[in-house]
Amino acid sequence: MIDTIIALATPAGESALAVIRVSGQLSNIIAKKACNCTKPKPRNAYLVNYRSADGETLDQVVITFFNKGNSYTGEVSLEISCHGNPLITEMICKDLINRGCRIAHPGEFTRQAFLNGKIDLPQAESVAQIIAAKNEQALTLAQRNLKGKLSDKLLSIQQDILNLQASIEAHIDFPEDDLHENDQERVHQKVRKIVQELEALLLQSTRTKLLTRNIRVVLTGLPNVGKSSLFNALAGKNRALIHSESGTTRDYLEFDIKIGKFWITLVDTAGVHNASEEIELAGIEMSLEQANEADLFLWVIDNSVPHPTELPEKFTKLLQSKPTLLIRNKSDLGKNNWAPNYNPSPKAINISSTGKYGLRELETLLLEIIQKLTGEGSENEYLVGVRHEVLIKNCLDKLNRFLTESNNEVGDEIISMHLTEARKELDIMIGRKTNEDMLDILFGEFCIGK
Amino acid sequence: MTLRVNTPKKPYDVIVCGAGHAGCEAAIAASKQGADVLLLTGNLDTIAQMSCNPAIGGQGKGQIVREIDALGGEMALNADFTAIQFKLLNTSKGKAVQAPRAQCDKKAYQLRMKHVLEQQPNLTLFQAMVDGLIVQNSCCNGVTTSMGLHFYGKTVVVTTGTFLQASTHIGQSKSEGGRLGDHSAKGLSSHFIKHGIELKRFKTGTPPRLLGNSINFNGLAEQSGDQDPTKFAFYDSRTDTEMFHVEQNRRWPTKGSHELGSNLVKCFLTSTTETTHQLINENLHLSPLYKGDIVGAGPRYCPSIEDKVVRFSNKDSHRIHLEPEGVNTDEWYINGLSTCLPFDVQQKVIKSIPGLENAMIIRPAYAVEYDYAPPTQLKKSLESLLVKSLFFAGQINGTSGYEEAAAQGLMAGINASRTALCLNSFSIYRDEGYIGVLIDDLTAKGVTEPYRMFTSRAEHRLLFNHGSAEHRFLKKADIYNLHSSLRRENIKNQLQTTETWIKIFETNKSDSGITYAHQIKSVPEVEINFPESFYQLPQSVQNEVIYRITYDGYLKREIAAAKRIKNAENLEIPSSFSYDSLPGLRTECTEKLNQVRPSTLGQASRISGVNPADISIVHIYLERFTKLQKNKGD
Ligand SMILES: Cc1cc2nc3c(=O)[nH]c(=O)nc-3n(C[C@H](O)[C@H](O)[C@H](O)COP(=O)(O)OP(=O)(O)OC[C@H]3O[C@@H](n4cnc5c(N)ncnc54)[C@H](O)[C@@H]3O)c2cc1C
Ligand SMILES: Nc1nc2c(ncn2[C@@H]2O[C@H](COP(=O)(O)OP(=O)(O)OP(=O)(O)O)[C@@H](O)[C@H]2O)c(=O)[nH]1
Ligand SMILES: [Mg+2]
Repeated sequence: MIDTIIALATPAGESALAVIRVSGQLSNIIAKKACNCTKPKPRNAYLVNYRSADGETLDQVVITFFNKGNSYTGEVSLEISCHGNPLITEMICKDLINRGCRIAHPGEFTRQAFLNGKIDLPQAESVAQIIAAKNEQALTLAQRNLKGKLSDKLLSIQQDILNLQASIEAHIDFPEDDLHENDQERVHQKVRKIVQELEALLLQSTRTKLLTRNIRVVLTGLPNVGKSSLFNALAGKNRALIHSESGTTRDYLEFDIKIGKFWITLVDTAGVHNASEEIELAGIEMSLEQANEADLFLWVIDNSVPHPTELPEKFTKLLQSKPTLLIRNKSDLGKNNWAPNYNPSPKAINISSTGKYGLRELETLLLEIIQKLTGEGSENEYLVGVRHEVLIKNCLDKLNRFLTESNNEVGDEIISMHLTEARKELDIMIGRKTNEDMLDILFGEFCIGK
Repeated sequence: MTLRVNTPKKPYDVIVCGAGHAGCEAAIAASKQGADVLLLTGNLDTIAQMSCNPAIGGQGKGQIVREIDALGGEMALNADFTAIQFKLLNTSKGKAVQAPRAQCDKKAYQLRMKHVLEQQPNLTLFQAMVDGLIVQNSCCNGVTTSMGLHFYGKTVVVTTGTFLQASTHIGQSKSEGGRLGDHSAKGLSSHFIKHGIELKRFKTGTPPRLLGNSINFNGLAEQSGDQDPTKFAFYDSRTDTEMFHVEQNRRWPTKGSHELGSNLVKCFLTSTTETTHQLINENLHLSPLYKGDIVGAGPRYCPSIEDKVVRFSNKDSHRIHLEPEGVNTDEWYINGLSTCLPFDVQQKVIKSIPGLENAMIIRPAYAVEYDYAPPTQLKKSLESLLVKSLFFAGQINGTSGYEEAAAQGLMAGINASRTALCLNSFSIYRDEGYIGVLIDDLTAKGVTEPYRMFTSRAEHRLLFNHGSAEHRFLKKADIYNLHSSLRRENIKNQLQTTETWIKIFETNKSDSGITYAHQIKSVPEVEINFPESFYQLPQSVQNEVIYRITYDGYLKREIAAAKRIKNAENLEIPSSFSYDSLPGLRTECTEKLNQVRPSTLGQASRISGVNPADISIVHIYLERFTKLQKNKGD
């Protein structure tokens, strides 16, 4: 029983097509269950809908099935060509993992291919080098992804679990020593705390944030530059009030739109200036508040008039703190093409909200920026991201399973088994802990030796 | 039957050096395989002597003893027949980690084992000190003794325990010997070094022994054994002759003197006091451990009392168990008080303990320091990587404990005899039992302190409940001829009965309307009314049925997990395979692999710091290597 492994065969990102390779026993079942394709003819292409285990159609894909011995790896394989959108490939990969596959180790496909004799002997050397290189790359990526807070947090959680195990193992292996009673409630409490921390971690991760909720795009700028007009143009509906007088928008307004595969919440806000009127002042405060929640700013300016250089300091600071796209609106009336003098200057685009030009280009640009934001860079970076998310979730699942399954009837050895399984998920990300590490803690902490 | 001295033309199949726990099992196992065995030992009166605590089993160890029995070894029977108190440990925890333990009569244990050796066919016992190896072309074919005798053997098993260059310490006083009052083995170490075998040093210690009638037991907590003892050997599968073994021999002296599974003695509990700790702290500078006279690493799980007091200064008392050494002696073992403080301090320490105020030490506590040969120099068969036909087992491999020693002896004995008889080697894997874990840990990872088994070392310990040992090794016993055909048949039938009853319980419903299996998982078994015929089954079968149903889901998971790693796991790495200059392998990893020299890919993958990508690379080159070797051979 060899694991079924998956990997992206094409670099992810802006390509038109992405190919996901599945190698192993589950290929058949996936063709049947996810693609409704029973007994596909080997090496024939089928156009099918890919359905997730929840029954949702994720994409229209082309699948090709390969018999054992006739695939790249030599194992039963399936190639799934889907649209190049990273979100789609990610959803398909996640579904494949749900169905029991796992993401391949660096070079694992090539290794299988070699071991099954699909690559001949003299090539072994280059194969090993590819694996080494990929491993290097994956490691640096993993480190980069994990640097700082996340990895510190995971390390401390790993340590917490290990400590807990040490106290349980001390009781199992040294029953004749006089150790304080090991009470299950205390263990449960500690595990609950670890669960909370992991959950928080999952929520915190920007990646997950962007993938599990809409991306917030906040329109901001001086009054009367056409923010509301642009909002309506993007929304395709006249939702916001538009007026030639400045200070029309006083409250903020939201509307959800879809660009590519991403759901975006557009937020129209009151114009920002050194206000005097009290009600307007309140509105500005509010729009600054909105700004704090933003994933991306659309900074709208009036391209037909020279830009007033004086901007509230609070405001410019905010703009620099997040990804910002400079929208030179009203370009139908004139092109001053002003840009702020801070570095790096934000990306800029000329449009007209009412003349409806430049809007298409704006959408394309937005999609690009959002893809970057969600971390869809290279194949590896992408996989590392998914892998970590999956591993943290797995770890959580196992701890939760522990909490529901263990009660007073369950032996310590079972409790420890659950903890080991949970810890192994973290081990994959931040390095393996062995039984020796556990014993070090055990002997450091407990006075053993009858 | 003559002793074959200096007969190079007519070598023994196997020569075993040292009749400790490892040596006895090695000699018996080898002769059972059909080999012609010579067992040499320094002193016939110390055969199978328990150097320290006169107890067999305990956590991790008890399971090993049952496995030894399931593989045809002697230790389990020997312990059962000489036990004076039985106890099943961890009864309040999970069944998977319950372990039998027994206090044994120290002298009876030795005598019985000696008698087993004496009447074992194909086995010659002779008192002699081995002081050298006869090696030709890196192949060992005999030994020399201090009397100048030469003995020739196709294979040699070294089981010299704590005796190599051994010195004992009591405070400042230092003398030679593997045990207090015993000899030290001198010539051997230099022979090993000459043949490229590296040696290192470890230390261990033992507590003082007291005279029982000088102990005031009044007021000390009593500890008695189990009413219904859990024995080490499997009896339901044995025939009468196998069951009583040497006891059937009329010349066996203690026949009838005490019964199998008796609970003859009580143990007692006391503890150290503030005065004890003060005394130890004041005299710490006199302990060779703290003065730096002893350099070898000692076991962390068996610390001296000075270690306990220093390292856990927040604890104001440590438990002390008083355990009798036998029924024909009044010598008591003071468990928990291992030390190498000077004798006068030992006396004061003893007097500071409740119940021991007037107690008399009749054997002082001491520490022993000795050479061991790092076990990463061995193949999985326990044959040396450096000298052919030379096997190592027991404490000389850096382990500690009678059970660990016996298990290795058994494995080395079987393998040495099979080598001599030109048969394939015998191994047990990590996912088959504690003995598999033991051998794999030793040969793949090596040791940094005297190695003892802990259940946590076994990643699949749920599969290793002590009651399943016979079932687990049935196939091996079959292939390698480890039991009589009748015993094998009986085990087979029992396994079948077990499986039949599991099916019955999974399908049949009890009075309460749910399946028995469901009931077993949800309520304590005492509350269940099983069908009458279930109670007719041997107790061991009943236990196993219940165990396997209770742990059903977990066992399936463990089996699946074990299978997943099995493929690469058993891929052997020939000792001639070189890790140097494998493109892509990190230097750090090359170093680790060179140091450990794993014998399978699975072992390699468990070495810390070696990651999956490294394994991929090794795997590829390994494949290439074996293919090239094959082509050469064709
Ligand atoms: C002081 C002390 C304290 C210990 N404390 C503990 C403890 O707390 N817990 C624990 O688990 N274990 C302890 N042990 C270890 C335990 O005794 C051993 O692990 C176990 O006995 C090892 O078995 P063995 O067969 O390898 O060697 P041993 O039992 O040491 O037997 C070696 C045998 O070989 C013979 N021999 C040696 N050299 C030669 C030679 N050159 N020629 C012929 N015969 C030879 C000896 O006479 C002896 O009979 C202690 C040992 C000692 C000495
Ligand atoms: N010619 C031209 N006029 C525009 C364009 N965009 C907006 N306008 C006009 O500019 C005026 C202000 O538009 P709004 O969209 O209300 O501006 P706003 O930025 O929301 O203003 P406040 O809410 O007051 O801050 C309106 O009269 C719009 O018709 C454009 O691209 N070209
Ligand atoms: Mg407005």
